[in-house]
Amino acid sequence: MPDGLPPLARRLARCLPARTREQCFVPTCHDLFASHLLEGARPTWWRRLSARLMLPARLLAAYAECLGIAANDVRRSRRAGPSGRRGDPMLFQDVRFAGRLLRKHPAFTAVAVVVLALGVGATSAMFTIVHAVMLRPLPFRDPGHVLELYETVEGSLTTLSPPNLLDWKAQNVTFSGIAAYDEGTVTLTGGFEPERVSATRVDPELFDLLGVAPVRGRAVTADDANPGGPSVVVIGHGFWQRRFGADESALGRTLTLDGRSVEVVGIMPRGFTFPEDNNLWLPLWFTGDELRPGQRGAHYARAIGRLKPGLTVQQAIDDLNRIEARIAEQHPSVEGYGAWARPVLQAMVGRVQRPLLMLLGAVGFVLLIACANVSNLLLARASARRAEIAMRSALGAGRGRIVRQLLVESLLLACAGGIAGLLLAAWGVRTLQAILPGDLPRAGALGVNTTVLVFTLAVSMTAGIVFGLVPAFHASSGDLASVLKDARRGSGSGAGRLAFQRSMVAVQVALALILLAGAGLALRSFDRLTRIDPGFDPSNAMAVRLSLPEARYPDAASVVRFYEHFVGALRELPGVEAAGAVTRSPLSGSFAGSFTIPGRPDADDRVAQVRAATPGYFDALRIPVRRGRTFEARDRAGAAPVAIISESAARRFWPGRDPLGERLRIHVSTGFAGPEPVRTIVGVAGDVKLRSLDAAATPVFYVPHSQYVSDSMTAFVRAVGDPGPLAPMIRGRVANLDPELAISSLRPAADLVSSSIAQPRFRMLLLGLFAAIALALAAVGLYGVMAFAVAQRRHEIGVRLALGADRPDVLRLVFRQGLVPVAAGVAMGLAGTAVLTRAMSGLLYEVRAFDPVTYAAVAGLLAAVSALACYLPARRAMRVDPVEVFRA
Amino acid sequence: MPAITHLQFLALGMLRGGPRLGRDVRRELARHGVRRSGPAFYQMMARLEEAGFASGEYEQKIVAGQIIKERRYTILPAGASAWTATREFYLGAIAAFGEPGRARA
Repeated sequence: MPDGLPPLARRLARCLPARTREQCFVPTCHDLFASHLLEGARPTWWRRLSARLMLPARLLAAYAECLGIAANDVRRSRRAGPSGRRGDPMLFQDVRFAGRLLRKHPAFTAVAVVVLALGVGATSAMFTIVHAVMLRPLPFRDPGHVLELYETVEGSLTTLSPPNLLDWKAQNVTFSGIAAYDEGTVTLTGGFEPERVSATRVDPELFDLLGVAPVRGRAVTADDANPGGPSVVVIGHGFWQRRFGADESALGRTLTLDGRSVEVVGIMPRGFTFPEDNNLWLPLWFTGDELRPGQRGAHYARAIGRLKPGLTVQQAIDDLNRIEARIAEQHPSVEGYGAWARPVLQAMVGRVQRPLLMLLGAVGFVLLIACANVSNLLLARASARRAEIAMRSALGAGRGRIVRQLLVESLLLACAGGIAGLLLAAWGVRTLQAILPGDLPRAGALGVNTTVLVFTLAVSMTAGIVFGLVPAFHASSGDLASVLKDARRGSGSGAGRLAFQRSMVAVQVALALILLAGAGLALRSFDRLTRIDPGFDPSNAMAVRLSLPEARYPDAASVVRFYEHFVGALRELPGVEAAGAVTRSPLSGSFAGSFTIPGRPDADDRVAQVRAATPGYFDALRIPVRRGRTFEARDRAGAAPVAIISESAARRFWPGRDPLGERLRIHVSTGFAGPEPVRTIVGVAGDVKLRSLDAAATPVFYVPHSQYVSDSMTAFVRAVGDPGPLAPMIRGRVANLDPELAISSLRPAADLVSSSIAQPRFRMLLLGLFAAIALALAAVGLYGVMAFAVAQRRHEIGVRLALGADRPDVLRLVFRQGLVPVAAGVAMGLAGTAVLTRAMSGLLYEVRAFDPVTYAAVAGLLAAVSALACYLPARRAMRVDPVEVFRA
Repeated sequence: MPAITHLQFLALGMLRGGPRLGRDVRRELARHGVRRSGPAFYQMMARLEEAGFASGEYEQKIVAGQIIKERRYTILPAGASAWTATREFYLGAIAAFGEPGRARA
């Protein structure tokens, strides 16, 4: 395979015969790239445009020509071959004739190619995303048998508690192996500046379980996975290239991670990553404290398991549930938990599967509309060519021969549309990447690849047959006598043909209405989402996340001291109104734990979110404290343990009572402290959305950070005005306090809200775009049909005007003819919408899938656009001069 | 009759001055009004190579930090002979039939 060529060229080259590839395509590609790079005098924007648009276009044109050369070679070799087989000269004649015809009518060709390119391009771009996210196999052996494991509580999935995980490992009979992993980040120092790098601590058996071995060195072993073991790390291929320049001597070198030296012992193969986008793998072990029975309520471990051959996911779930039942018998305090498992790919993409498939379906509608549109165009053109076709028939061409000729034309058109669509898709994917939600899994390396090429080819060819078949049969059905009769009358369109065109218009209108309704619903839902009060005020605030390395902050006192100094330093920044930190910011997920209320019997539903916060946190995010007080400097380690609860926690666990002064004991502790003490409630704060804007507020317990120490915190800094200028100052304060500390993230707090609605925004934008294309195509399609119909009925209109019809009568005539299929399309579309938008019901917020307001609005919009599309041909009809008609 | 086409005659004529990049030959042809697409041009050059009239090799260089490869062609003795024979054929034809516009009666 040729080297030195970009991936697209290499992939294209693979599909050519060796001779054509080596003699024609490869030198042409090198020629193109050399010419492109040597255009030194051109401005940068031109070079960029050339690289993105013209170079791929030239490449595809060269490829198309090479395909022709290869086909000629095959034909020649068949002629010269011993078997005496000949190619089909008629087919080549048809292709040449079709090519000439398309060149002869550039306007028709351009319109058809643009319409097809829109349909094929949008479909291919969407398929590129769906393929990358959902269809691309995971980079390890037999991924369908690797399951992500969960515990369940109250019907929702949660991570595992380490003691339960050990029981699962020891007692299961359905897995050939279970391995835990703990996804996170570490601070890498020793380079230009400290850097946060994704790092996962893994069970030694994880690599065997996945069936992947390092390409150099070794994996993590059981000897590494204990407190006294060597400090080792296995690095990813990308990290090896980036950090070590793919130097073979990377093995054995040391990295400083979180202030600790670790030796590089292995390099994973290119393309391997688990979990997604991970760079480093470190050994994982659980401490004795993490495995004590009291920690069975602490759910933070993640695990995967490989199913034994021949077993199903349901059998595995049943097996794990049996173990959970045994655990509940032995430890009644953790009763109520169950087990769940699903394939890793499903776990990664399950939540985006439905929206992506919905968008792919929506774009399929755009393609169908484009096909219907081109079908109408072809039918109109075939109508104009009826005399020619009838003459061919009279000269002896059979119907099959004529159909084949017309199908070749539509396939050639489809090829051109497909190539243009592919270019549009390549550009569209790059554009879509800018608006993709940050949390869309596996969307890192989007691009047009071989699968997308094959898909586009298949879609284009299918479209070519779909939109070409009916016009071809229609066109080949006439007889010479009727054609000549029609030609004398100046009319060339039979009733059947017109009916087909109108039905195509109705189909386009129906599909466009469904898309418009979907987009309308998504828009209304998004509008409602943006109106939700998150419970805090993100405006004018910056959020900075830090994780302190254990090596340099080994105990609670050093961690607390750092954050006190850090928050204090933030408050002293000019223009800062308030500052405070919390373990997990709003809208960023769950950290829940069970708890008990002293004096009350245990209950299964006593689970709440736990957040450790510093004084100033509630002020920094303007979370209202409804009753009692906020955290103060006096709430330090050793002082009376206190907690602030959210309003929903007060309502749920202390209904009808004043919770102030009540006591609780949280069962989840951090690694820095022993068992949690009994805490006294000193305040009630307003509810804050923790997981997502559309989820109901969950009960939260806030505890002082000094009494519930965590090394990872997000500090919020509220500025008097624009918080942007604070960013460099915040970086400076971090560097002053600890030059080796990397900032995990620094962004405006408003990003918390906007990224939490990134998925609905993406859905709304794409659906809106598809609906706009659909509306435009349907309108153009209707206009085309009406313009054609008016041209065909010009003689009749002239006669009517001569016989006394006035111009408004003509206007009504044309409108009636145009709006009847539109009305039929709207009726069909409304029925289809009522059925199909049900698929959206789970994706909408406070909007029903059957929303009469949206339906009425989109039907009105479609009717107005259709009326406009009819008006222009109608105006032309009104201006028909009877004298001219009779003279003609 | 000549063993090479008019286009091959032109290309070989350009290579007589020394080895040249395919891109340069193509550009030179275009300057003389003979435009050929990349695949058509390189197919023609491949025919010359197959006939033993010219040889082609890729050469590699770095431009703007990127490696580019280009095919450089050299005329072979058989190619030079074919070109000379073709030239003599055309000259003979001109001598026999006259130059355009001066045809004998």
